[in-house]
Amino acid sequence: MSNTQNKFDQLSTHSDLDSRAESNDVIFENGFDSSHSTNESPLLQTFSQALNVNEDLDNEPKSSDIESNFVLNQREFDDNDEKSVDDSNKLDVSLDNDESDLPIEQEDEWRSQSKHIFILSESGKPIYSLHGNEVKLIAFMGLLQALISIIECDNDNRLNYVLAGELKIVFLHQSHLILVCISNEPDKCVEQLQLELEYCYNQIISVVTLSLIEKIFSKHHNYDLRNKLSGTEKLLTNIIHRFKNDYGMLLNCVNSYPLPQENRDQVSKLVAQQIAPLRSVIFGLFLFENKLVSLIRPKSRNIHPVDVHLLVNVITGFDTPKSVEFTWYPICLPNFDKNGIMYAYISHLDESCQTCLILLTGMCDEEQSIELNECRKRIQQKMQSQNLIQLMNSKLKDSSLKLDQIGVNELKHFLYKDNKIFQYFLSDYALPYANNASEQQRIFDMYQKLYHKLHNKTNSLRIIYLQKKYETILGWQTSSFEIYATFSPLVTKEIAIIAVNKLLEFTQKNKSKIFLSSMPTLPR
Amino acid sequence: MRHELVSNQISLANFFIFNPDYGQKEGKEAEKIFYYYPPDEKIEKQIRTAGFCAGMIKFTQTFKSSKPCEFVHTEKVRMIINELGDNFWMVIGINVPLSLDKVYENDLLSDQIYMSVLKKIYNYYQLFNGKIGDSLKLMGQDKLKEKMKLFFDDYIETKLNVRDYDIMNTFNGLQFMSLDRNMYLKIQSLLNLLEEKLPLVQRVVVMHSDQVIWSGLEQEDISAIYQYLKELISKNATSVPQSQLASKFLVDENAKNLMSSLTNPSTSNNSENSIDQFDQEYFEFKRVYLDKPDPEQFYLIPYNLSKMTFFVFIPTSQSFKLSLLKEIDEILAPNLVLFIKEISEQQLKRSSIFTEEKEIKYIYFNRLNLAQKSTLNKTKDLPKHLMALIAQLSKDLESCVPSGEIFVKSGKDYWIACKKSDLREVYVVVCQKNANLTMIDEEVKQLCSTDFSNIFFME
Repeated sequence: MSNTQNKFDQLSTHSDLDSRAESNDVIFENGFDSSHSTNESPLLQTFSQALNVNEDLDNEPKSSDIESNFVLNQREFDDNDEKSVDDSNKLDVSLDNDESDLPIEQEDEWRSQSKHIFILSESGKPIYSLHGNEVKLIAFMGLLQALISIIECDNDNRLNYVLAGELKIVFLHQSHLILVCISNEPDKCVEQLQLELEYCYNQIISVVTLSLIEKIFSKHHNYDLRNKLSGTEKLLTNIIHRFKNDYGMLLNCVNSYPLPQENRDQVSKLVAQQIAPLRSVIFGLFLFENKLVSLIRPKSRNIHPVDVHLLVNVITGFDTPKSVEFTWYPICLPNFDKNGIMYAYISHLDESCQTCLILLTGMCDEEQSIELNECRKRIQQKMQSQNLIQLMNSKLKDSSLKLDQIGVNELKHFLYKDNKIFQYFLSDYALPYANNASEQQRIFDMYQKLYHKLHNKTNSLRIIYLQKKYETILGWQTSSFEIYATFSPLVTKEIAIIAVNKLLEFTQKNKSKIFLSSMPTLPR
Repeated sequence: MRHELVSNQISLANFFIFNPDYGQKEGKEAEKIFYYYPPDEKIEKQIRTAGFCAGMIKFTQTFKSSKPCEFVHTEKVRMIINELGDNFWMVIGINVPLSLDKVYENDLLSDQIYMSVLKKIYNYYQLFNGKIGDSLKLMGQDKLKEKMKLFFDDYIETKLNVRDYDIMNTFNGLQFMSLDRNMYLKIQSLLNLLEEKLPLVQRVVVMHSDQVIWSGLEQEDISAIYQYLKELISKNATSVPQSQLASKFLVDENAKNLMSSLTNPSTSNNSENSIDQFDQEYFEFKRVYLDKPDPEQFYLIPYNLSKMTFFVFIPTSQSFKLSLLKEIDEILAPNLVLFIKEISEQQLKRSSIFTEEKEIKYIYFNRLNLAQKSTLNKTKDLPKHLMALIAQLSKDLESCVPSGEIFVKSGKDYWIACKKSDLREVYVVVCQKNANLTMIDEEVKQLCSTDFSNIFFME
């Protein structure tokens, strides 16, 4: 037990190269295949690899100290990695010889994509591209890097973004990484694209940790970061897709699952009781349909919404086959500790994979895994015996949270964010938005613009009332909440004000159902 | 608070015009720069900046943008790129103001405003010099560069003031004079008479002081030339009785002297015939290029009597003599004397109905006839960040088609209400502590009914 305690403490500090206990180099997958197409869950692969510790692990030589710990996806850089630097160079050369008729920048289809995201290292080495194989984009990425450096070498300036008609090109240069978004989407504003790049950046940090990036690039400017990221490009692509219409990511909130207070308390208590004795578990999250039902945390720490989104991204990004009982995934939570790695024990508790239990611990070894497995089985049993999963499903029949409860016809949709607890409530849609995905996307885009206008640093606004052709939208920000509402286009201001007051009452009344509050904490 | 004391730091970083068709050879890159300010900037930096813009323009073209690269936002400098045609590009770099907390206040600079400024600069250049591409063909690189240096050095020195631009600059509108119907018709018929009798007179603009009564030019042209016409009037405002012909035409000294010597019977020893020895070239009327409906060059002949000015445009392809000027005077002078008297009487009557100083500040603009009106006292009334906000809202209003409104509350005190009906826009600024949406709505409705009673705004 004391051993595990040590490792937990070490977690929050700078992960040291020389700390032997944790430095097991691991190959995340076979070979340098940097395409996005692996169908098999990489988590599974490594796990089975991990079980066979003594087999010959392909590429990276291990450091001298191999304990018989489970070998996991720990990506540490040590001097033996010189070899991989050379290998990656060889890789580039071989792929360059691949003949293609046109450089990809001239291919019409690629050019007409409405959104591109490129990630490259400071020295211009490609790391990721949303469309097209990043290997073929070496010259293009070099051009991006050149444009940025012309601006930067002049008086320490920084290139933020470029506009050409509807085209927006947004740049983010942080921690030796350059992220560029090129978007022709008329409905996304620049701030939204900047937020998107930040999520991509956080996604990369969550795989590699900030200290590792700093270490690598300070020694080897030309390092190919894809070595460390291979297998996780899917997660980048996934987070970009989710960002299109995820309200939680826009509002900097967690996506919470509405549930009557008693049921939520039941679930939380159950989970908390089971994980409390496991000293190494720091956070426990219970999700239903990828939305948060319970969050069990230590008294002194909380988890940041962005970190929760990164975790959910892992679940939705890798399609783990349903037969898999559990997986371990090492992750760095950038808002918890940019420099350290935690281990996420992820398991679905029911056959249709609607529920998900995530336990975040500071360490992972055989003993740990067995303990957590047992814990999970107990939780599963208790849930079944209390029929909790059925209860959670019954939300679909509950009509107390429907829009018509508010009783104002002109109110077609609203979004309420509680600024104190970082959670939000999304109403359902009235006609003509109901069952119409493109209209709902349009509402999202409008709220996105309102959000960024309200939060503009120079001109932050309290209220925006905007009457347009198809609807009237209202945005209202106070220190305790934010409201975004859609009305029919000819609504009068009196009716709008009445509707907003009613919806405030509504959310107050249903607070306990909609939001997570007063969760049990762990005695840590 | 945070934004105070910042506006005096908005300054010009650079202004240049380049053509990437030139200077493609190694070592001769500087050839593509046709004009650069500040002139003492190191040549390497000039090349780098112009090269960056050229690179950005090409880069954005890769991605099928509807327009070429227009705005480059860097932390410390904002660059606005205006395409002039024939592969000429005009770029202005504005230094982003730094606030007291060492934050670069990028949102205080509005892209639209500076783009309008650039377009206006080029329109002004075009007015007197024609299109750049044509000049290049006519006179070649070097001469063109010299000409541009003369023109733009002067413009930057005298007219460019990056600190004071606001939303009014995006309108490039005109101040119309409100006249009663009879007066307007009288002036209109005088105009018709003039054009009927003198077919050489192709276009006319009528102004009273600095306000427009009638414009015979197309929108783009009057908007480009309006500033210049105002300047002509204010430069030559004279209280000297205008009995002589020469004093009625707002021309420079030499031409005036020539004209007076010709028309003064005592000094001239010539008969009727010799008056017409001198053709239009001698009077050095300013030549302007008007663009619509077809690009053509005109002589601008300003005829002024007291507060009224008739700007007459005669194509440069025509020739005329002093006798034409005499005829203009004969047709216009007698009637104008009467009109002026009448108008000043009406104005006296109106000003006696004293209107109180408005508490509500607003800006009105009609995109159809370019009429603009503002009761805002520019920088004195509103903090700079609110002016930037209004510029931003103006852009948002574009997406409210055909009509719409936007009400925003900024901070605790300021409400800005924007209403748009087809091509008419009004921006109302209300400063009232703790007002709510209904109250502001009421105020705006009231304003519309008093000040804009003849103008329709949707509820």
